[in-house]
Amino acid sequence: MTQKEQSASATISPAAVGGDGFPTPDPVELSFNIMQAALLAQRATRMMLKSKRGNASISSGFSDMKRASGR
Amino acid sequence: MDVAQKYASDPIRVVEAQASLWNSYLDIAERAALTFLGEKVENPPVNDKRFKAPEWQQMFVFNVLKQIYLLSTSWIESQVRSVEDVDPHVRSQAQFYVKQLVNALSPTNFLFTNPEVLRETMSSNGANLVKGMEQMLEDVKRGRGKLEIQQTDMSAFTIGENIATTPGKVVYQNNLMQMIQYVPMTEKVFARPLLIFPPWINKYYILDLGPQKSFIRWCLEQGLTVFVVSWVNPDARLAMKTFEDYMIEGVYAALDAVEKATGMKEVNAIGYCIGGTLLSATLAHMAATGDDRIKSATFFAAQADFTEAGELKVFIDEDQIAAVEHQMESTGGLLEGSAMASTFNMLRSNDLVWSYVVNNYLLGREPMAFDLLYWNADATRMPARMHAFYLRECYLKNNLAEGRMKLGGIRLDLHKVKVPVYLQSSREDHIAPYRSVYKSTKLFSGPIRFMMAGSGHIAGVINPPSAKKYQYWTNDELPEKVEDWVKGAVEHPGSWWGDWFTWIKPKSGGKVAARIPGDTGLDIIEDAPGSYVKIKSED
Repeated sequence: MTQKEQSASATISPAAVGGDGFPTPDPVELSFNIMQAALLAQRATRMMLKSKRGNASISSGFSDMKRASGR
Repeated sequence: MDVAQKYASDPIRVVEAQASLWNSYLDIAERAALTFLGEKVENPPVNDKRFKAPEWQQMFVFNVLKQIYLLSTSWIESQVRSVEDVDPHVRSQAQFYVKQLVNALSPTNFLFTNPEVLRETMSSNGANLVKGMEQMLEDVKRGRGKLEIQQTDMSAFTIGENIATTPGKVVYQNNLMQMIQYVPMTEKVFARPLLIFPPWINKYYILDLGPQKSFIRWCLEQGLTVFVVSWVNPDARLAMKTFEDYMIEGVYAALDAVEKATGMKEVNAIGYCIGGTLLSATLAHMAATGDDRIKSATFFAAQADFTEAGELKVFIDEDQIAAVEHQMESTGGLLEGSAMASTFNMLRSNDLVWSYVVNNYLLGREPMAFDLLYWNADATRMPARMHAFYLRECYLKNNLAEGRMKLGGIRLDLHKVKVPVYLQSSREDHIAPYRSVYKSTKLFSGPIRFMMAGSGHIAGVINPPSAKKYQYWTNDELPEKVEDWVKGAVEHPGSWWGDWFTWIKPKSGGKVAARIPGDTGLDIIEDAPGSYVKIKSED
């Protein structure tokens, strides 16, 4: 190790790079909740795609962009 | 496409711009490396509410991510701005959509790149995400398939109970509006009544949010007799209503009703936003027919000349108006309330869309109770014929200012309007910019006072003296250019309401006994705020 490398390794702390900045979650509960959230998000998306209003709002967003781009 | 082609047509500038971007990236990399080695590095201050959580400053990875995002977006936006030889309308559209895109792609909007959300997810074991997605599902259900993001706790407010509570009575109504006469708050009142025409995009109670913020209540406390038009939230039966109907069944009907209620033929009038545009048009109509019942006109954030009509212009061209007309046809001749709300939200998407996506869906928090946002979410529908006329005649063709608009078969000429005019504008108003409002100083022919308030389209108007917030500027001169007006303007701290009252007081006549609603020519129909204001767009 050069002197510079030694000095660098001495000053880098996990906190400096955000490594230990977060609390540790319970992996089982976290996984379960993420799955549940994903299912809810899927339901919401399906509902939007199935409904005329939701679909219209999505497609009008795209057509606005398309029109603005001149295509 | 035009913008991209023009941009690419100057390869030298493209290379220079990219080199400058890479230089800036290298600056970030250098600062990051020094931080990594434990040196204290000063990063440029960031005045962006999205990054206010301390993690964005304190945590290395997120700090770098933030800097790269801000640098890249500012670079992209400056590149779009700098493209030459492009139609200004096309350029502003490109700027608008680029802004939407970069706002959407902010690292704050994603779970894995927002440290605040990550911390919440870790500490609650993801319960925030479940709650957030439940709230999203609710918003989709409430919007019948369309995502209608809740900006405030809608259950916290009830119209007539804790919002729009100033005592008054509905003393007149027709299909299009109810007119409220407020109960006086002084024993003696000024003889000449004040008649207010609020916008019909959203509802009148922006002027009566709560006792502390109520412009209506404040006017009553000054001894004015106040009448306010509460426009109906139209349904399919009113789809054929025109802008002219708003003049006849709105302004003219209200003037007749005030005369019956008080015996006073003459009034001072206020028009707010589109209500002000209608008031301008009606004043020109009255000037042509010799009707002089309106003795002074005050305009809040109202435009008559639409050549520089703010950010809404990005949605205005023949194709887009035709698309709106098609949309209105398919929804029974009405523009849905949510369509107008979405348009306004898009203009401030960081504040009115993405901050709620993060708060409600990622952090899983409930939105706070806020009266102004309750009002903002209480959107109204628009009759198709009226709305198409307004968009074409005002925004697209500027016919009102240029003397080509016709109502009731009469060509309107604003130069014939000779009543005293008070023009309120707000410095940060993106819907009716002060430079656009200033153009009215060159249209009306009577004495004019132009005032610029601090803040924006709403907070610039609703700023009671007791709040001691913001400031306003006045200048007795009306130079040709608004820049010169601003240069010569004097800044005053606090609310401008007192300045307006000093102006309106000598125009309000002597003092008479206070008028109790229902005591004179018009019977009471119901208590204020009336039933029209309670018609929700989802009803």
